[in-house]
Amino acid sequence: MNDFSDIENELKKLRPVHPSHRFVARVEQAMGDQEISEDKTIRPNPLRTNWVGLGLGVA
Amino acid sequence: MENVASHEDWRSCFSELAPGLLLFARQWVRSRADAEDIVQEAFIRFWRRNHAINNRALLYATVRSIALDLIRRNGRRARREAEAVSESEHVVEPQFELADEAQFALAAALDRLPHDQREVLVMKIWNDLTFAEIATALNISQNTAASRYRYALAALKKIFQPQ
Repeated sequence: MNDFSDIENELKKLRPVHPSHRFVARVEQAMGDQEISEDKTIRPNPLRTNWVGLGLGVA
Repeated sequence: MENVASHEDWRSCFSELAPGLLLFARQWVRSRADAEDIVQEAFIRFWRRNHAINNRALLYATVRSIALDLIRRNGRRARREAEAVSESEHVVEPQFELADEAQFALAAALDRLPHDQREVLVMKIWNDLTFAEIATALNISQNTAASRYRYALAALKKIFQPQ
């Protein structure tokens, strides 16, 4: 127990204002939108190997 | 660091941290709407960059950085807001759900603390960060973080328990 435990306890009783549902929904939507846009992104894969072509080439 | 948290983990993380993050952001802006914009931008940036979900020091550092950028971009408005708050003890948009006069007085006393002490107090009391995390987020030593915390508590104790 420290010298400040009383005032710490009083401070902990103060509850920050809870975020509005609108705000939470806005952030969740932003996360969802980002996921969708990232899913839709088609990135070239520089390491992709055409094994059929490689096999034919070797043959 | 690879981020293995699922989308649901991130949603839960935001839901859990949002009240404390908003309170943290409100130290720089008095408007709740501005604080929400800051927290949204910080959280989405943190999430998109695939940081470890439990790297709270980095998350709070991101909130702080975005808030300071906003102030720099909109300095005149921030000054006007700061002046408006200092002219009145009544904060238009409360930061806490106040139950009685004592809590109202405590919240008002918090507002009068030096900024560097108040931000450590907010991170420690309402966001449960360790002194190590606070030190990392603010780029200060753990000893400095702990000292600022003690100074803040001492100042508040002097106001509320004069002996």
